[in-house]
Amino acid sequence: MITLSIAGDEYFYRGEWEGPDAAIRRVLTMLSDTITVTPDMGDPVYVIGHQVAEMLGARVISYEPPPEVPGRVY
Amino acid sequence: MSQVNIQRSIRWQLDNLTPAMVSTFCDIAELEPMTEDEFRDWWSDWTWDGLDYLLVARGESEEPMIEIDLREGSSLSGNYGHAGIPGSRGGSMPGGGHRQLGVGRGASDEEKKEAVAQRRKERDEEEAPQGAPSYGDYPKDQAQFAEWQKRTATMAEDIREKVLPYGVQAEALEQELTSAYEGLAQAWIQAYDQIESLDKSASGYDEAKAQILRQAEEVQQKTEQLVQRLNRAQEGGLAGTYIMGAGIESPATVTVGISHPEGRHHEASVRSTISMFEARALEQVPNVHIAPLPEGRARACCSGDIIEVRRDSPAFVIAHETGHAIEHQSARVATLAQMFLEKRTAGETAKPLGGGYAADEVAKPDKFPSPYCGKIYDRGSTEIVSMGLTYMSSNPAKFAKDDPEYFRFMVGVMRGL
Repeated sequence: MITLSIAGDEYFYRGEWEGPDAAIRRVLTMLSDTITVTPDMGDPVYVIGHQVAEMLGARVISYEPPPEVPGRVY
Repeated sequence: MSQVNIQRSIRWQLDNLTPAMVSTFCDIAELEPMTEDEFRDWWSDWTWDGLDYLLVARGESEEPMIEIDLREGSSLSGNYGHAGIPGSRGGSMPGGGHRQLGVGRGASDEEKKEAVAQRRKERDEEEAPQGAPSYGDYPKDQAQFAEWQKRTATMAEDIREKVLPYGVQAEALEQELTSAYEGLAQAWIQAYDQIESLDKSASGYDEAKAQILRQAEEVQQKTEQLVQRLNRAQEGGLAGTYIMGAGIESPATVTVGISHPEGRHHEASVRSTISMFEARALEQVPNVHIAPLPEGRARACCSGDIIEVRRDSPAFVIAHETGHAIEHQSARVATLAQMFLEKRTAGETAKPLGGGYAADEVAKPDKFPSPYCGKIYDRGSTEIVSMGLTYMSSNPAKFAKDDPEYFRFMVGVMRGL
Protein backbone atom coordinates (compact mmCIF):
# COMPACT_ATOMS: atom_id res chain seq x y z
CA MET A 1 0.00 0.00 0.00
CA ILE A 2 1.39 3.37 -0.98
CA THR A 3 0.47 6.75 0.43
CA LEU A 4 -0.04 9.44 -2.18
CA SER A 5 0.13 13.11 -1.33
CA ILE A 6 -1.90 15.55 -3.42
CA ALA A 7 -1.48 19.21 -2.61
CA GLY A 8 -0.56 18.48 0.96
CA ASP A 9 -3.28 15.95 1.75
CA GLU A 10 -2.46 12.31 1.95
CA TYR A 11 -4.54 9.62 0.31
CA PHE A 12 -4.06 5.92 0.33
CA TYR A 13 -3.57 4.44 -3.04
CA ARG A 14 -6.12 1.71 -2.80
CA GLY A 15 -4.14 -0.74 -4.84
CA GLU A 16 -1.27 -3.12 -4.57
CA TRP A 17 1.97 -2.81 -6.44
CA GLU A 18 4.59 -5.09 -7.74
CA GLY A 19 7.77 -3.28 -8.72
CA PRO A 20 10.72 -1.23 -7.46
CA ASP A 21 9.11 0.24 -4.37
CA ALA A 22 11.68 2.91 -3.49
CA ALA A 23 11.68 4.31 -7.04
CA ILE A 24 7.89 4.34 -7.10
CA ARG A 25 7.77 6.32 -3.89
CA ARG A 26 10.32 8.83 -5.16
CA VAL A 27 8.60 9.49 -8.47
CA LEU A 28 5.16 9.38 -6.93
CA THR A 29 6.09 12.20 -4.59
CA MET A 30 7.40 14.30 -7.47
CA LEU A 31 4.43 13.65 -9.70
CA SER A 32 1.75 14.14 -7.07
CA ASP A 33 3.08 17.61 -6.42
CA THR A 34 3.47 18.61 -10.05
CA ILE A 35 0.72 16.90 -12.00
CA THR A 36 -2.35 19.07 -12.09
CA VAL A 37 -5.36 17.13 -10.99
CA THR A 38 -8.12 17.93 -13.47
CA PRO A 39 -11.82 17.21 -13.02
CA ASP A 40 -11.83 14.73 -15.88
CA MET A 41 -9.12 12.56 -14.37
CA GLY A 42 -11.43 10.34 -12.43
CA ASP A 43 -9.86 9.40 -9.13
CA PRO A 44 -6.58 11.38 -9.16
CA VAL A 45 -5.08 8.90 -6.75
CA TYR A 46 -5.62 6.21 -9.34
CA VAL A 47 -4.36 8.31 -12.22
CA ILE A 48 -1.10 9.37 -10.63
CA GLY A 49 -0.52 5.97 -9.14
CA HIS A 50 -1.02 4.22 -12.44
CA GLN A 51 1.04 6.77 -14.33
CA VAL A 52 3.96 6.03 -12.07
CA ALA A 53 3.40 2.30 -12.36
CA GLU A 54 3.42 2.50 -16.14
CA MET A 55 6.58 4.58 -16.23
CA LEU A 56 8.41 2.23 -13.94
CA GLY A 57 7.21 -0.94 -15.55
CA ALA A 58 5.52 -1.84 -12.29
CA ARG A 59 2.43 -4.01 -12.33
CA VAL A 60 -0.76 -2.96 -10.63
CA ILE A 61 -2.23 -6.02 -8.98
CA SER A 62 -5.50 -4.51 -7.83
CA TYR A 63 -7.31 -1.26 -7.61
CA GLU A 64 -10.71 -0.31 -6.26
CA PRO A 65 -12.13 3.10 -7.30
CA PRO A 66 -14.15 5.01 -4.74
CA PRO A 67 -17.90 4.62 -5.34
CA GLU A 68 -19.83 7.48 -6.91
CA VAL A 69 -22.11 9.34 -4.56
CA PRO A 70 -25.69 9.24 -5.90
CA GLY A 71 -27.00 12.62 -6.99
CA ARG A 72 -23.56 14.15 -7.33
CA VAL A 73 -22.03 15.33 -10.55
CA TYR A 74 -18.27 15.50 -10.85
CA MET B 1 -30.90 48.19 12.22
CA SER B 2 -30.79 44.42 12.46
CA GLN B 3 -33.32 42.19 10.83
CA VAL B 4 -34.59 41.04 14.24
CA ASN B 5 -35.10 44.64 15.39
CA ILE B 6 -36.92 45.48 12.21
CA GLN B 7 -39.21 42.52 12.63
CA ARG B 8 -39.93 43.59 16.24
CA SER B 9 -40.59 47.06 14.95
CA ILE B 10 -43.04 45.77 12.39
CA ARG B 11 -44.98 43.89 15.05
CA TRP B 12 -45.03 46.97 17.24
CA GLN B 13 -46.20 49.15 14.35
CA LEU B 14 -48.97 46.71 13.50
CA ASP B 15 -50.16 46.65 17.12
CA ASN B 16 -50.33 50.46 17.21
CA LEU B 17 -51.97 51.25 13.90
CA THR B 18 -54.31 54.22 13.62
CA PRO B 19 -56.78 54.97 10.78
CA ALA B 20 -54.63 58.00 9.83
CA MET B 21 -51.53 55.82 9.49
CA VAL B 22 -53.30 53.29 7.29
CA SER B 23 -54.75 56.05 5.15
CA THR B 24 -51.36 57.72 4.67
CA PHE B 25 -49.72 54.42 3.95
CA CYS B 26 -52.31 53.52 1.30
CA ASP B 27 -51.78 56.92 -0.33
CA ILE B 28 -48.02 56.51 -0.44
CA ALA B 29 -48.15 52.92 -1.66
CA GLU B 30 -50.92 53.76 -4.10
CA LEU B 31 -53.25 51.17 -2.64
CA GLU B 32 -57.00 51.24 -2.34
CA PRO B 33 -58.14 52.56 1.07
CA MET B 34 -58.27 49.86 3.75
CA THR B 35 -59.48 49.52 7.29
CA GLU B 36 -56.94 48.73 9.99
CA ASP B 37 -57.99 45.06 10.04
CA GLU B 38 -57.72 44.79 6.28
CA PHE B 39 -54.34 46.45 6.50
CA ARG B 40 -53.11 43.93 9.11
CA ASP B 41 -54.35 41.12 6.91
CA TRP B 42 -52.63 42.62 3.88
CA TRP B 43 -49.47 43.13 5.87
CA SER B 44 -49.32 39.46 6.80
CA ASP B 45 -47.55 39.20 3.48
CA TRP B 46 -45.17 41.89 4.74
CA THR B 47 -42.36 43.69 2.98
CA TRP B 48 -39.21 45.55 3.91
CA ASP B 49 -39.88 48.56 1.79
CA GLY B 50 -43.41 48.49 3.13
CA LEU B 51 -41.92 49.14 6.54
CA ASP B 52 -40.25 52.23 5.19
CA TYR B 53 -43.57 53.47 3.91
CA LEU B 54 -45.10 52.77 7.30
CA LEU B 55 -42.41 54.74 9.12
CA VAL B 56 -42.88 57.65 6.72
CA ALA B 57 -46.62 57.40 7.28
CA ARG B 58 -46.07 57.64 11.04
CA GLY B 59 -43.92 60.72 10.51
CA GLU B 60 -40.90 58.97 12.04
CA SER B 61 -38.81 59.17 8.93
CA GLU B 62 -38.78 61.40 5.91
CA GLU B 63 -36.44 59.18 3.93
CA PRO B 64 -36.40 55.42 3.65
CA MET B 65 -34.37 54.05 6.57
CA ILE B 66 -33.43 50.76 5.05
CA GLU B 67 -31.26 50.29 2.05
CA ILE B 68 -33.31 47.92 0.01
CA ASP B 69 -31.56 45.32 -2.09
CA LEU B 70 -34.48 43.38 -3.43
CA ARG B 71 -33.97 40.26 -5.43
CA GLU B 72 -36.71 38.41 -7.10
CA GLY B 73 -37.39 34.84 -6.11
CA SER B 74 -36.58 32.46 -8.92
CA SER B 75 -39.08 30.53 -10.92
CA LEU B 76 -37.84 27.53 -8.97
CA SER B 77 -38.34 29.11 -5.55
CA GLY B 78 -41.52 29.25 -3.60
CA ASN B 79 -41.32 33.02 -3.77
CA TYR B 80 -41.65 33.63 -7.44
CA GLY B 81 -43.69 36.72 -8.12
CA HIS B 82 -42.29 38.17 -4.90
CA ALA B 83 -39.36 40.37 -4.24
CA GLY B 84 -36.65 39.27 -1.85
CA ILE B 85 -35.58 40.61 1.50
CA PRO B 86 -32.02 41.81 2.01
CA GLY B 87 -29.68 38.89 2.49
CA SER B 88 -32.40 36.36 2.00
CA ARG B 89 -35.41 35.62 -0.10
CA GLY B 90 -39.14 35.91 0.32
CA GLY B 91 -41.61 38.65 0.99
CA SER B 92 -43.55 40.52 -1.67
CA MET B 93 -43.69 43.98 -3.09
CA PRO B 94 -46.11 46.58 -1.73
CA GLY B 95 -49.31 46.08 -3.52
CA GLY B 96 -48.01 42.62 -4.43
CA GLY B 97 -49.41 39.23 -3.58
CA HIS B 98 -52.90 38.31 -4.65
CA ARG B 99 -53.97 41.91 -5.30
CA GLN B 100 -51.24 42.60 -7.79
CA LEU B 101 -51.78 39.28 -9.47
CA GLY B 102 -55.45 40.03 -9.85
CA VAL B 103 -56.76 36.98 -8.04
CA GLY B 104 -59.11 37.04 -5.08
CA ARG B 105 -58.29 35.70 -1.64
CA GLY B 106 -60.52 32.73 -2.24
CA ALA B 107 -58.74 31.71 -5.45
CA SER B 108 -57.58 28.12 -5.70
CA ASP B 109 -53.90 27.21 -5.67
CA GLU B 110 -54.17 26.37 -9.36
CA GLU B 111 -55.58 29.84 -10.14
CA LYS B 112 -52.85 31.50 -8.09
CA LYS B 113 -50.12 29.49 -9.87
CA GLU B 114 -51.58 30.42 -13.22
CA ALA B 115 -51.68 34.09 -12.23
CA VAL B 116 -48.04 33.93 -11.08
CA ALA B 117 -47.00 32.31 -14.37
CA GLN B 118 -48.82 34.98 -16.35
CA ARG B 119 -47.26 37.75 -14.27
CA ARG B 120 -43.85 36.17 -14.73
CA LYS B 121 -44.25 36.10 -18.50
CA GLU B 122 -45.36 39.73 -18.55
CA ARG B 123 -42.47 40.83 -16.35
CA ASP B 124 -39.90 38.88 -18.40
CA GLU B 125 -41.15 40.73 -21.44
CA GLU B 126 -41.11 44.09 -19.66
CA GLU B 127 -37.69 43.69 -18.07
CA ALA B 128 -35.75 41.75 -20.70
CA PRO B 129 -32.61 43.70 -21.66
CA GLN B 130 -32.65 44.95 -25.20
CA GLY B 131 -31.48 42.28 -27.60
CA ALA B 132 -31.60 39.56 -24.95
CA PRO B 133 -33.08 36.21 -25.84
CA SER B 134 -36.52 35.33 -24.63
CA TYR B 135 -35.99 32.36 -22.38
CA GLY B 136 -39.14 30.71 -23.57
CA ASP B 137 -37.60 30.61 -27.03
CA TYR B 138 -34.23 28.96 -26.59
CA PRO B 139 -33.69 25.90 -28.81
CA LYS B 140 -35.88 22.97 -27.89
CA ASP B 141 -34.93 20.56 -30.66
CA GLN B 142 -32.00 19.85 -32.90
CA ALA B 143 -33.37 21.85 -35.83
CA GLN B 144 -33.70 24.95 -33.64
CA PHE B 145 -30.31 24.24 -32.13
CA ALA B 146 -28.70 24.14 -35.58
CA GLU B 147 -30.26 27.54 -36.28
CA TRP B 148 -28.96 28.86 -32.95
CA GLN B 149 -25.46 27.65 -33.78
CA LYS B 150 -25.57 29.39 -37.14
CA ARG B 151 -26.87 32.60 -35.57
CA THR B 152 -24.16 32.66 -32.89
CA ALA B 153 -21.27 31.51 -35.08
CA THR B 154 -20.05 34.90 -36.31
CA MET B 155 -19.64 36.55 -32.92
CA ALA B 156 -18.27 33.38 -31.33
CA GLU B 157 -15.72 32.94 -34.11
CA ASP B 158 -14.62 36.54 -33.71
CA ILE B 159 -13.81 35.86 -30.05
CA ARG B 160 -12.11 32.58 -30.94
CA GLU B 161 -9.76 34.33 -33.34
CA LYS B 162 -8.79 36.84 -30.67
CA VAL B 163 -8.01 34.10 -28.15
CA LEU B 164 -6.16 31.68 -30.44
CA PRO B 165 -2.67 33.30 -30.33
CA TYR B 166 -2.28 32.49 -26.63
CA GLY B 167 -1.23 29.24 -25.05
CA VAL B 168 0.42 27.40 -27.96
CA GLN B 169 3.79 27.27 -26.20
CA ALA B 170 2.23 25.53 -23.22
CA GLU B 171 1.01 22.72 -25.44
CA ALA B 172 4.54 21.97 -26.71
CA LEU B 173 5.90 22.07 -23.17
CA GLU B 174 3.27 19.61 -21.97
CA GLN B 175 4.51 17.07 -24.52
CA GLU B 176 8.10 17.71 -23.49
CA LEU B 177 7.17 17.23 -19.88
CA THR B 178 5.58 13.85 -20.54
CA SER B 179 8.92 12.61 -21.92
CA ALA B 180 10.74 14.21 -19.01
CA TYR B 181 8.59 12.32 -16.49
CA GLU B 182 9.47 9.05 -18.19
CA GLY B 183 13.16 9.99 -18.12
CA LEU B 184 12.84 10.80 -14.45
CA ALA B 185 11.30 7.46 -13.66
CA GLN B 186 14.06 5.67 -15.55
CA ALA B 187 16.72 7.71 -13.76
CA TRP B 188 15.46 6.60 -10.36
CA ILE B 189 15.11 2.96 -11.42
CA GLN B 190 18.69 2.95 -12.67
CA ALA B 191 19.88 4.69 -9.54
CA TYR B 192 18.34 2.12 -7.23
CA ASP B 193 19.52 -0.76 -9.44
CA GLN B 194 23.07 0.61 -9.32
CA ILE B 195 22.95 1.06 -5.56
CA GLU B 196 21.70 -2.51 -5.15
CA SER B 197 24.66 -3.77 -7.16
CA LEU B 198 27.20 -1.95 -5.01
CA ASP B 199 29.25 -3.86 -2.46
CA LYS B 200 28.03 -2.47 0.85
CA SER B 201 31.14 -3.60 2.67
CA ALA B 202 33.48 -1.78 0.24
CA SER B 203 35.27 1.31 1.55
CA GLY B 204 33.87 3.75 -1.04
CA TYR B 205 30.23 2.55 -0.72
CA ASP B 206 28.77 5.69 0.85
CA GLU B 207 30.48 8.00 -1.62
CA ALA B 208 29.46 5.86 -4.62
CA LYS B 209 25.87 5.74 -3.39
CA ALA B 210 25.78 9.51 -2.90
CA GLN B 211 27.16 10.03 -6.39
CA ILE B 212 24.47 7.82 -7.93
CA LEU B 213 21.72 9.64 -6.02
CA ARG B 214 23.12 13.03 -7.07
CA GLN B 215 22.85 12.04 -10.72
CA ALA B 216 19.20 11.11 -10.29
CA GLU B 217 18.59 14.32 -8.33
CA GLU B 218 19.98 16.32 -11.29
CA VAL B 219 17.44 14.70 -13.61
CA GLN B 220 14.74 15.51 -11.09
CA GLN B 221 15.83 19.15 -10.89
CA LYS B 222 15.71 19.49 -14.68
CA THR B 223 12.21 18.04 -14.68
CA GLU B 224 11.15 20.46 -11.97
CA GLN B 225 12.53 23.37 -14.02
CA LEU B 226 10.47 22.18 -16.95
CA VAL B 227 7.39 22.15 -14.72
CA GLN B 228 8.12 25.75 -13.76
CA ARG B 229 8.46 26.74 -17.43
CA LEU B 230 5.16 25.05 -18.16
CA ASN B 231 3.51 26.92 -15.30
CA ARG B 232 4.74 30.22 -16.72
CA ALA B 233 3.58 29.29 -20.22
CA GLN B 234 0.16 28.38 -18.85
CA GLU B 235 -0.01 31.77 -17.20
CA GLY B 236 0.53 33.20 -20.69
CA GLY B 237 -2.32 31.02 -21.85
CA LEU B 238 -4.43 32.53 -19.14
CA ALA B 239 -4.15 35.86 -20.92
CA GLY B 240 -6.84 34.40 -23.14
CA THR B 241 -9.22 34.38 -20.20
CA TYR B 242 -8.99 38.15 -20.02
CA ILE B 243 -10.07 38.33 -23.62
CA MET B 244 -12.95 36.04 -22.73
CA GLY B 245 -14.06 38.70 -20.26
CA ALA B 246 -13.59 41.59 -22.67
CA GLY B 247 -16.62 43.09 -24.30
CA ILE B 248 -19.13 41.74 -21.81
CA GLU B 249 -21.84 44.37 -21.46
CA SER B 250 -23.29 43.37 -18.10
CA PRO B 251 -21.48 40.55 -16.25
CA ALA B 252 -23.64 38.06 -14.42
CA THR B 253 -23.49 38.04 -10.64
CA VAL B 254 -23.77 35.22 -8.14
CA THR B 255 -24.91 34.73 -4.56
CA VAL B 256 -22.11 32.84 -2.82
CA GLY B 257 -22.60 30.82 0.34
CA ILE B 258 -19.66 29.50 2.33
CA SER B 259 -20.04 26.78 4.94
CA HIS B 260 -16.42 26.52 5.97
CA PRO B 261 -13.79 29.26 6.52
CA GLU B 262 -11.49 27.67 3.94
CA GLY B 263 -14.20 28.10 1.34
CA ARG B 264 -13.45 31.83 1.32
CA HIS B 265 -10.34 31.08 -0.75
CA HIS B 266 -12.59 29.94 -3.57
CA GLU B 267 -15.15 32.73 -3.55
CA ALA B 268 -13.15 34.83 -6.02
CA SER B 269 -12.91 31.90 -8.42
CA VAL B 270 -16.67 31.37 -8.30
CA ARG B 271 -17.32 35.07 -8.94
CA SER B 272 -14.72 35.20 -11.68
CA THR B 273 -16.30 32.21 -13.43
CA ILE B 274 -19.78 33.71 -13.29
CA SER B 275 -18.50 37.08 -14.51
CA MET B 276 -17.52 35.43 -17.81
CA PHE B 277 -21.29 35.16 -18.43
CA GLU B 278 -23.46 38.01 -19.58
CA ALA B 279 -26.23 38.56 -17.02
CA ARG B 280 -28.78 37.93 -19.75
CA ALA B 281 -27.37 34.42 -20.30
CA LEU B 282 -28.85 33.23 -17.01
CA GLU B 283 -32.50 33.42 -16.05
CA GLN B 284 -31.68 34.34 -12.48
CA VAL B 285 -28.80 35.21 -10.19
CA PRO B 286 -27.38 31.76 -9.44
CA ASN B 287 -26.50 30.48 -5.98
CA VAL B 288 -23.24 28.68 -5.36
CA HIS B 289 -22.54 27.26 -1.93
CA ILE B 290 -18.93 26.29 -1.28
CA ALA B 291 -18.48 23.28 1.00
CA PRO B 292 -15.45 21.15 1.90
CA LEU B 293 -14.98 17.81 0.25
CA PRO B 294 -15.88 14.98 2.64
CA GLU B 295 -12.92 13.18 4.12
CA GLY B 296 -11.52 10.36 2.06
CA ARG B 297 -12.76 11.61 -1.31
CA ALA B 298 -10.37 13.07 -3.84
CA ARG B 299 -12.82 14.19 -6.54
CA ALA B 300 -14.56 17.52 -6.29
CA CYS B 301 -18.28 17.29 -6.94
CA CYS B 302 -21.51 19.24 -7.05
CA SER B 303 -25.00 18.57 -5.76
CA GLY B 304 -27.60 21.15 -6.74
CA ASP B 305 -26.05 24.49 -5.87
CA ILE B 306 -23.53 23.03 -3.42
CA ILE B 307 -20.00 22.50 -4.69
CA GLU B 308 -17.74 20.28 -2.62
CA VAL B 309 -14.11 21.09 -3.27
CA ARG B 310 -10.72 20.59 -1.71
CA ARG B 311 -9.13 23.50 0.06
CA ASP B 312 -6.35 23.54 -2.53
CA SER B 313 -8.49 22.88 -5.58
CA PRO B 314 -7.17 25.06 -8.40
CA ALA B 315 -9.34 27.78 -9.90
CA PHE B 316 -10.35 25.74 -12.92
CA VAL B 317 -11.73 23.00 -10.68
CA ILE B 318 -13.87 25.63 -8.97
CA ALA B 319 -14.93 26.83 -12.43
CA HIS B 320 -15.82 23.25 -13.33
CA GLU B 321 -18.03 22.69 -10.30
CA THR B 322 -19.55 26.15 -10.66
CA GLY B 323 -20.51 25.06 -14.18
CA HIS B 324 -22.54 22.19 -12.71
CA ALA B 325 -24.28 24.59 -10.33
CA ILE B 326 -25.14 26.91 -13.25
CA GLU B 327 -26.44 24.04 -15.36
CA HIS B 328 -28.55 22.92 -12.42
CA GLN B 329 -30.15 26.35 -12.01
CA SER B 330 -30.54 27.51 -15.60
CA ALA B 331 -32.98 25.72 -17.88
CA ARG B 332 -31.48 27.64 -20.81
CA VAL B 333 -27.93 26.51 -20.13
CA ALA B 334 -28.97 22.94 -19.29
CA THR B 335 -31.05 22.60 -22.44
CA LEU B 336 -28.32 24.00 -24.68
CA ALA B 337 -25.80 21.63 -23.10
CA GLN B 338 -28.06 18.63 -23.69
CA MET B 339 -28.63 19.73 -27.30
CA PHE B 340 -24.90 20.08 -27.91
CA LEU B 341 -24.08 16.72 -26.33
CA GLU B 342 -26.85 15.07 -28.31
CA LYS B 343 -25.66 16.60 -31.57
CA ARG B 344 -22.01 15.77 -31.08
CA THR B 345 -22.55 12.20 -29.94
CA ALA B 346 -25.39 11.19 -32.27
CA GLY B 347 -25.13 7.50 -33.14
CA GLU B 348 -22.46 6.79 -30.53
CA THR B 349 -22.75 4.12 -27.86
CA ALA B 350 -21.83 5.00 -24.30
CA LYS B 351 -18.70 3.26 -23.05
CA PRO B 352 -17.26 2.91 -19.54
CA LEU B 353 -14.77 5.66 -18.76
CA GLY B 354 -12.61 2.97 -17.16
CA GLY B 355 -9.44 3.87 -15.29
CA GLY B 356 -10.12 5.66 -12.04
CA TYR B 357 -13.86 5.80 -12.62
CA ALA B 358 -16.57 3.66 -11.14
CA ALA B 359 -17.89 0.90 -13.40
CA ASP B 360 -21.18 2.71 -14.04
CA GLU B 361 -19.52 5.95 -15.18
CA VAL B 362 -19.98 5.97 -18.95
CA ALA B 363 -19.40 8.47 -21.76
CA LYS B 364 -19.82 9.01 -25.47
CA PRO B 365 -16.34 10.31 -26.21
CA ASP B 366 -16.90 11.87 -29.67
CA LYS B 367 -13.80 13.91 -30.52
CA PHE B 368 -14.08 16.06 -27.42
CA PRO B 369 -10.82 17.34 -25.89
CA SER B 370 -11.48 14.74 -23.18
CA PRO B 371 -13.86 11.75 -23.36
CA TYR B 372 -15.16 12.98 -20.02
CA CYS B 373 -16.95 15.83 -21.83
CA GLY B 374 -19.33 13.21 -23.21
CA LYS B 375 -20.15 11.67 -19.84
CA ILE B 376 -23.74 10.47 -19.55
CA TYR B 377 -25.69 10.95 -16.33
CA ASP B 378 -29.01 9.27 -15.54
CA ARG B 379 -30.87 12.48 -14.83
CA GLY B 380 -29.88 14.54 -17.86
CA SER B 381 -26.96 16.42 -16.31
CA THR B 382 -23.93 16.80 -18.55
CA GLU B 383 -20.26 17.69 -18.29
CA ILE B 384 -20.53 19.99 -21.31
CA VAL B 385 -20.70 23.34 -19.50
CA SER B 386 -18.41 22.25 -16.66
CA MET B 387 -15.66 20.98 -18.95
CA GLY B 388 -16.14 24.00 -21.21
CA LEU B 389 -15.62 26.30 -18.23
CA THR B 390 -12.62 24.24 -17.13
CA TYR B 391 -10.97 24.93 -20.49
CA MET B 392 -12.15 28.54 -20.63
CA SER B 393 -10.68 29.28 -17.21
CA SER B 394 -7.40 27.40 -17.66
CA ASN B 395 -6.32 27.72 -21.27
CA PRO B 396 -9.02 29.08 -23.58
CA ALA B 397 -6.52 29.38 -26.44
CA LYS B 398 -5.84 25.66 -26.42
CA PHE B 399 -9.58 25.02 -26.19
CA ALA B 400 -10.21 27.34 -29.15
CA LYS B 401 -7.63 25.40 -31.17
CA ASP B 402 -8.54 21.87 -30.07
CA ASP B 403 -12.30 22.05 -30.52
CA PRO B 404 -13.54 25.15 -32.39
CA GLU B 405 -17.19 24.09 -32.40
CA TYR B 406 -17.22 23.43 -28.65
CA PHE B 407 -15.46 26.76 -28.03
CA ARG B 408 -18.01 28.66 -30.14
CA PHE B 409 -20.84 26.83 -28.35
CA MET B 410 -19.50 27.97 -24.97
CA VAL B 411 -19.22 31.57 -26.19
CA GLY B 412 -22.85 31.43 -27.33
CA VAL B 413 -23.94 30.03 -23.97
CA MET B 414 -21.91 32.49 -21.91
CA ARG B 415 -22.76 35.58 -23.93
CA GLY B 416 -26.48 34.84 -23.89
CA LEU B 417 -26.62 34.79 -27.67
